[in-house]
Amino acid sequence: MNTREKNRKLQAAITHSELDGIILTGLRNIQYASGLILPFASARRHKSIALLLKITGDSVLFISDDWADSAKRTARAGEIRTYRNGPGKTELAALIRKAVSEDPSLNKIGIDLEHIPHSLYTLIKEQLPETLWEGCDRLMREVRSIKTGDEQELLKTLAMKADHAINGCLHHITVDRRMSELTLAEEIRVHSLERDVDLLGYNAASQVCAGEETKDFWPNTPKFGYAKTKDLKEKDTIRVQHQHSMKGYWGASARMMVNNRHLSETQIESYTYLNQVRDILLRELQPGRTFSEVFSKVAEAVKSKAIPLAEEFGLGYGIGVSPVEAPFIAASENTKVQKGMVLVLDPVIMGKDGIYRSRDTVIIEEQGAEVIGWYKDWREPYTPIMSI
Amino acid sequence: MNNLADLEFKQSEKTLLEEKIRAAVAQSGLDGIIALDPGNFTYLTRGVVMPFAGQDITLPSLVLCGAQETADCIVCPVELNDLAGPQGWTGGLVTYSINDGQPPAGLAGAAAQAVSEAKLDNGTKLGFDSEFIPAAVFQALQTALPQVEFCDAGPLLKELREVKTEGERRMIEIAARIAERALVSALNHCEGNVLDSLNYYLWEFGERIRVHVGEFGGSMAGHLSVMQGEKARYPYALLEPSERFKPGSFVRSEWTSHNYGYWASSGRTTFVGPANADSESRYKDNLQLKKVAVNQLKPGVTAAQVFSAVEDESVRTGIPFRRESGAGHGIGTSEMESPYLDGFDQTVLREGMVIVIAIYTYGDQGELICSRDIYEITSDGCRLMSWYKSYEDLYCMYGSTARHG
Repeated sequence: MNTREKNRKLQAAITHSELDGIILTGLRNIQYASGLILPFASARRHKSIALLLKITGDSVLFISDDWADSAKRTARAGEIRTYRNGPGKTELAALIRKAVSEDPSLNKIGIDLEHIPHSLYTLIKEQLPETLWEGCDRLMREVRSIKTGDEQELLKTLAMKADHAINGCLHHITVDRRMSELTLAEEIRVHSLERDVDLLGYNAASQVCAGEETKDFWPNTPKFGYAKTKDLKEKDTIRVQHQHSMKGYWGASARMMVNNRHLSETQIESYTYLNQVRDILLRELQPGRTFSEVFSKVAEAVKSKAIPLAEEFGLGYGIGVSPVEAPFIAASENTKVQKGMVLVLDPVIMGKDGIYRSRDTVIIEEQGAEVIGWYKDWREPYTPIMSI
Repeated sequence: MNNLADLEFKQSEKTLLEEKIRAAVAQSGLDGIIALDPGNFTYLTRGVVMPFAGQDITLPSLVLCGAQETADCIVCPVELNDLAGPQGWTGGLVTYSINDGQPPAGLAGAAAQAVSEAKLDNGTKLGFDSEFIPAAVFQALQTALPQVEFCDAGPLLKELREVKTEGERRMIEIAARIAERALVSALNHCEGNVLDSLNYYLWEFGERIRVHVGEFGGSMAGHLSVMQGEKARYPYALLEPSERFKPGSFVRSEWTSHNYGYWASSGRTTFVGPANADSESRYKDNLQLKKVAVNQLKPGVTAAQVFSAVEDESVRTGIPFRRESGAGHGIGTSEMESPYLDGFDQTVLREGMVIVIAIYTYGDQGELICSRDIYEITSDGCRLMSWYKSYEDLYCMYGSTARHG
């Protein structure tokens, strides 16, 4: 990925905020700014990582010596300084203090307070008492929420691959042949890996639930990355969800299938609601409006049609280096809809026969939202072959 | 063996853990502890796991674990409100919606409600883990809860979590068994054609580890990587999409997985095709350093002493090892936790601790070789928990026809 455009955006944002630089400690923020990919780091936070990005564009990555050579494979930091792991965060804080002290132009520094551990922040403030610190979470949210051309292309590819993986896998279902929810979920992931996404664990996973289980939001608690061994049955409503990653960016899809040639009246009703909400969302996602305005307009329209939408979950979110990130299509989001945003529309319908969900990736263009992840037209759910 | 049949964390086991936690909290003078990070969250809730916790797919959750059980409360986004009960949680539950506010404000507001419902008034002292709580969340909690005095409970949690209850050790042993079976299954699947000209993709081998974790009852696969050749020189490197097994190579597989919130951290090095004497010898080198570390695993020894013993053996024998990676670590509700078998850690090993031995040595091309095993510290030594299959000899992967299936 060409990172120059991202770096230019970051430098412009730092300048605009009248900061001399920023220190990032959130893994997704660091990944965005440097390209670093270390998937396990999110589960091993005793070894904190930080990135100092100066207004000049110069950057320093601070990382445990254990991870440094792996980091060099992906990170594009100008300099990498390593620390020997030790108790607490003292070694990392000392490295940061040294780097900041070396550069007299660093007087006012932004820091991602929503991510930096309290203990590390306290140490840094103590060791650099003259430095002015300011939260830069908003800055990072804003920069990350508008995608560059390269990011848009990658996210489009990922969205399409996720939808393709689901379609390619559903293709193997035949109504009168045995297949379990677990097998289907596994095969979705395999179909995704066949399309060159990265081998990752954690939330790079698929979920499948069928029949009565579709009434639950999390039917296989706590085995969230796997499905039950229960077989799919004829006429089942089936919900499938998938997330995967490539080059540090994420793609997602969630689809509905009915294990029959024809949909029941209930299934038609629920799926029609899903289509209606998607249409309303696509209509209301107009550049210049705030997301809270979009949310209100959708909620109003949905109420007038008596659609059982679970609006308390929000209606969608951004996607990028994080599988779920700002902006949120929610009442609390005052950010404006802007060209270049990539969003996942995620309305949840509480249907009579289960929870219906559709995750559609869209890009915001000047005229509004454009769906970028459909492998097939999802105005109707997937219906399989009856018999072969 | 029979005690491993029931995969779930039993209620009787949870009760014993709860008593241990509750007593420690009360003794510390705290009215409760607040925690957000997945390891402390699962520990303090006695086994509640949130979806892909720590991976940013949902808004954050937190637990308030009281000195009195009446104060127990989970604060979570509304889409997770039906998760805790089925996992045995009997405490309070307060939910918040993304519509109520962006993180961390929405979370802090809901936490204030939880504290209010617990009737924790002026003078309340709540612990938190300063190593893991984000500064903005802490500030938001301070603002939302002006009547609360916050104290760093990191050292208390470290001490508590290091020594596992019998039930926790059982959970980890099950996790280890599942993890090891997953690798064996992946090997069985791929070996048929690993040397065939059609060969086998590394991603598929890795994916089969993940799949079999689930099929043997595991709750989640975490870290997952398979490396060979130049990439195996690194602790971590992404696979190329169409990378295949290469005869004559070391293959290092690393994966973590959990059983109802209790983790195993696994890593094995195998060889593609017949190994020559040098490769066998390099593998034995690793086992030699590992044996030294295992011999040190007993109460009274410090984590740093285990590491030093490995260093000394490395110097004595001339077998180099990757010092930066240490010699191992604790494991429990986090896939890597205290104590750390490294020069800096003066933690004294105690009976009931569970330790992963992970020592990295080098192949002839600089590839990292590692064979992770999990041990329980006993009264007079240690006991192997990842016993499902021995890797005392270098495992060579054979199979010459894709028709094997």
